[in-house]
Amino acid sequence: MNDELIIRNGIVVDPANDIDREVMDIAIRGGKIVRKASPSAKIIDASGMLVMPGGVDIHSHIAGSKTNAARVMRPEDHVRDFERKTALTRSGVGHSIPSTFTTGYRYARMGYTTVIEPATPPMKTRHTHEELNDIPIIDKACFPLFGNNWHVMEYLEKGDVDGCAAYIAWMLRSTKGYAIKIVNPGGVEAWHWGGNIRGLDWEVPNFGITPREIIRGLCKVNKILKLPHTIHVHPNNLGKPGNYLNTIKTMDCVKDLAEEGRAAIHITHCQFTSFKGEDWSTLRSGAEEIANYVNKVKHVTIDMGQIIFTATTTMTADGPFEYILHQLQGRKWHNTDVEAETGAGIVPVVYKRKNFVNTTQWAIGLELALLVKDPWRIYMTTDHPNAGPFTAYPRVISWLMSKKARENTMKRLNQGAVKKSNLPSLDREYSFAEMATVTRAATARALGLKDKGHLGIGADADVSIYGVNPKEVDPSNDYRAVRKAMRRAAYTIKEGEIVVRDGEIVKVIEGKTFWADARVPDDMEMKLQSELSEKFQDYYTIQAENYVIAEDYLARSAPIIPGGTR
Amino acid sequence: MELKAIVVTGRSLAQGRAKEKKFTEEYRQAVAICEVDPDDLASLGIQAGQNVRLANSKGSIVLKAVKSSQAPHRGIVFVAYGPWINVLTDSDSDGTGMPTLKGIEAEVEPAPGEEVQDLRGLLRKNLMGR
Amino acid sequence: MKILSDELVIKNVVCPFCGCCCDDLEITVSKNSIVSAKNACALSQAKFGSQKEERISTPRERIDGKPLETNYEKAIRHSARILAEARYPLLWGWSCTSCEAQKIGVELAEEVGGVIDNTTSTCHGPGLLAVHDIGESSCTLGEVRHRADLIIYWGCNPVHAHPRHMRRYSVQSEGRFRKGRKERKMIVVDVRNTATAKMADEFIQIEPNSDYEALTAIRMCLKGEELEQEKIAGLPSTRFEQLMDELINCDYGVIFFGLGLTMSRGKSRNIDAALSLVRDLNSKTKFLIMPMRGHFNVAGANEVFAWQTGYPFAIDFSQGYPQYNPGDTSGVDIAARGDCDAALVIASDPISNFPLDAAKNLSSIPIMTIDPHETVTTSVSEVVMPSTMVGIEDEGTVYRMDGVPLMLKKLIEPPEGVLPDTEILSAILKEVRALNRGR
Repeated sequence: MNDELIIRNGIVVDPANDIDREVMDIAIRGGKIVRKASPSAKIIDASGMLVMPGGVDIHSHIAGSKTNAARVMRPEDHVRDFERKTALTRSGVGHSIPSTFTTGYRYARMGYTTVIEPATPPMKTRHTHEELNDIPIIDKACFPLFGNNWHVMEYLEKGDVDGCAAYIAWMLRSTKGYAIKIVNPGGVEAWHWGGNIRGLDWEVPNFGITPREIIRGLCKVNKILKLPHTIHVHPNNLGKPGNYLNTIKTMDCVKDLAEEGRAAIHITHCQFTSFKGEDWSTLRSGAEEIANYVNKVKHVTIDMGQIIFTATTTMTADGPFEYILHQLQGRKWHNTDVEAETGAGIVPVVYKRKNFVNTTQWAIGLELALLVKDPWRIYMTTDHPNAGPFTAYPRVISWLMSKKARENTMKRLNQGAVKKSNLPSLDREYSFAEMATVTRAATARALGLKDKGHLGIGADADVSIYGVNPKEVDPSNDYRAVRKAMRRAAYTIKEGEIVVRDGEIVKVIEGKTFWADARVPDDMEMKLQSELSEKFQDYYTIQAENYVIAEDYLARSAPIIPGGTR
Repeated sequence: MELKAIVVTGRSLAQGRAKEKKFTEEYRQAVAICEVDPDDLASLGIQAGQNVRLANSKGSIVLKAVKSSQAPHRGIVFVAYGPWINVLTDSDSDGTGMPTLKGIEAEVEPAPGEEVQDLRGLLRKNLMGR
Repeated sequence: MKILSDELVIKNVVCPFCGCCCDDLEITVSKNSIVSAKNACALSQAKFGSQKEERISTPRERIDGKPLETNYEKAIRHSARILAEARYPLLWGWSCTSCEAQKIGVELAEEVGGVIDNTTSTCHGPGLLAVHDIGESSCTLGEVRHRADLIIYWGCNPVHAHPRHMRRYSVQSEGRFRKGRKERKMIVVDVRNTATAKMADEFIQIEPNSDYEALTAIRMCLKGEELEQEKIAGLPSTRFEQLMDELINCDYGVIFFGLGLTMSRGKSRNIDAALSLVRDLNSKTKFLIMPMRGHFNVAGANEVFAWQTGYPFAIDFSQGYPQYNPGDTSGVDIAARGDCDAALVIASDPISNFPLDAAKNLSSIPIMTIDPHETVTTSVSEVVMPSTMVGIEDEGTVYRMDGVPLMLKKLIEPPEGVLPDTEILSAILKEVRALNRGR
């Protein structure tokens, strides 16, 4: 069987390998990029087309308990956006909370080949994996939540970082998770009593620990375990005017723990935590301050969380935030607190062009992207679906690459907010290389996925080909052409298989699920097991044996050995 | 000696234990019964263990009346889920998908000399019109 | 796992009966039989005990009106033919089988352009309809165990339907912050003095069909409105003022509700009122609500259907994509209207459980049933295919009433030659595809 492919004459943008719009061939064999292919290889004529590594989305809520609770709560979200069954594809529904098959197809159609589910409650992560198994084509991973976990808080309160590391390692292996996710540390435990945490040095009720200590402790654990991705943090005070200060403090609180050349903390959907001002009427962008900090240091990465003007759904483990949003806007509200661990809240939202706050938020996301100088440390996301559906990525790309596109949008927004924003004065426009960086090269590197996000020899043959010529098209003026092309890939290749052709699915394959096979020395492991067997039944209403997810539960398990090569 | 009652259907321990073997006598004993408030039994003029007929616009069925251990609930009769009481329930779901299975109005009267039908007989009569 | 002579003790077994999905059962097996079930409640014991009773031993087909023994191959082909040719088939049941089987069911319903519906329709469906409007403030059961000082059972009777619920998860359980029964208050609201009501600190007996008024009365008091009527739901209206005070003065309150709310007059509006009350209470104190799901994997059916199609039950694929409109696309309504012309029934007994007119219509069309045991439905089916008992003879994923996923274990081998649901369904799907391609 000939599994060889040559992508001929494409205009390649591969920032990780310093390739910027070079005409070259890409050869594929056995699902990998190779130096040369044999004459019998299938040829794709990519003349005049943009060739990039497949997209890598570092933060998108696509699978698991809260995603599904949102689907159930919001039948109105699905009613008008559906896909019929075809000979190749399953039917489904879309918009802000697509069903699983539709999720995979829509990402693939845009040329994305790896997507991370960034927040899964460990006790229910079996559910997350069931959904990930049902998302076709793309590779995936999930981040278990640890920032409000009883075991974690107790270990760290005692100062037992090693014990905590052994626990986290066990948890990652047991839940088949990839990285340490922290959401409103301590705040969700406080929410289980109806409260919240509003500062890094507030004490979590009944646990005697602060968010600062939780974040620092988990940062240290991350280093001990040499996990492929840094701690992924949704800070306290998300959505609160004035929260930018806390965000900077959060970034700063692990500065001394940073290792050379590596990020020590990732702040996710940073737009939501870059608010300046005292209240909604005095809301301003804190993007400049945030960007200044990020530019000054080396240990922080962020992703945008870019607002899209549409009706969408907010869903996050930040339970108290969602309750506040519900009270603010009056829309229906779903909440699930998960025992001893975390929680979730869901509230529908509409981002309106004429709304002062929403316009300010929209500007913040773009300001962050334009003011942070190093495209390897800022990633393009919409925190799908919180700030907008992932299907809007091409639109965000056009805003990044074209001031004109931004101006055109700004014309229709709340002018009071536009006037108060920096954005009109920002001239920077992303190049193709920078766009490729923030949508695939940088995210893959940040995740420690060495074979993703680039097209060097040995990389996974995940390639996207778009019908736009990056040597001829001026994205600044002709942003519409770029946007159109990015919506429907001319070709999406996954593991060397052509899965999309002219924006249509032509083959359905099963993607892999990555997880961190984290381990600690035997003595630490034994100590952990004896501690767990004492505490587990006190904390949970299920047995430890039933908490653990077997590897064969994943449709295609792809463990990563931390600290080693893949 | 008639009782205008509200019928509430539901689960019971006995019904739950026998539900995987519906053609057995155990199931019939668990399900083809109605739990009646002792004061209602008295006003009907019957003893616990005697048969009653429940009837409404949907149909009628003979069940064995037993003394309720969950009294007082005058005017309310409890029958476990199953094919007997479904003769009286209403498939109209009020547009919700849920048929009306609780709070059903029915007349209850003593049924001396009438037998509680066994399940096979009930099915033959109701489903096949025999 | 201990081995004692020819006995094997299997620990941490998840029980396949009710929505509690207790996972601490210890099952002793010997010579391929269940000998004992430690920690199992009466319902659970009955299920394990029924493993050998009323089993269907071989597939059956009705030929010229007579049930004849056949084999799986013929039964599957017969079923596939009926489904492929049907104009509007109904695929009903699903709540007492695994998620793995439910997934195949969705695929099959999509392939035949039929309706797939699970027993949520006749159970907690109205609750989901209310969730579409209001949302839901909820939690996992461990949160109740750790924190709840006020627990209300409204319109449900856990002593009979969820026997270990109180000890494992609520009033009688021990949590980090509540050490047991003494630190909790239990209120029961029901129309009769049930076994559960007898255990309550407070039993509030309301009139049948008056839950909506009762819940609304509490909400009104919460919002400072005056109750103009003297009597509400058969009680003096001052009772609701008192109740409201109790609710807002707890630290952590939980309402567990059952079919008393979903089935009586008002249906989804009753749960709407309950969900709204709990939402409103959160402005005063921490309050949550949870439906007492009856079957061990009805929640799983909702989850699987929802992630694959967007909707939790009553999904119509006749237009080639998922459509959802309970009341229209739900099993009982379709049967009552006589719209379906074939039915696949799995792990359920609709001929017994549906109101008679719906059951009658169903029994007049060809029914294919997949079930371990003889049921009323199998007795009138065109094709009967025996299946294994998931959680005893086959493993599978299930979801507890609070959405926590668990794995059922395989404890013993099934009866000779009996296949699991997943295999039967896959075979039917394969055959239907072949028939559709041939057309």
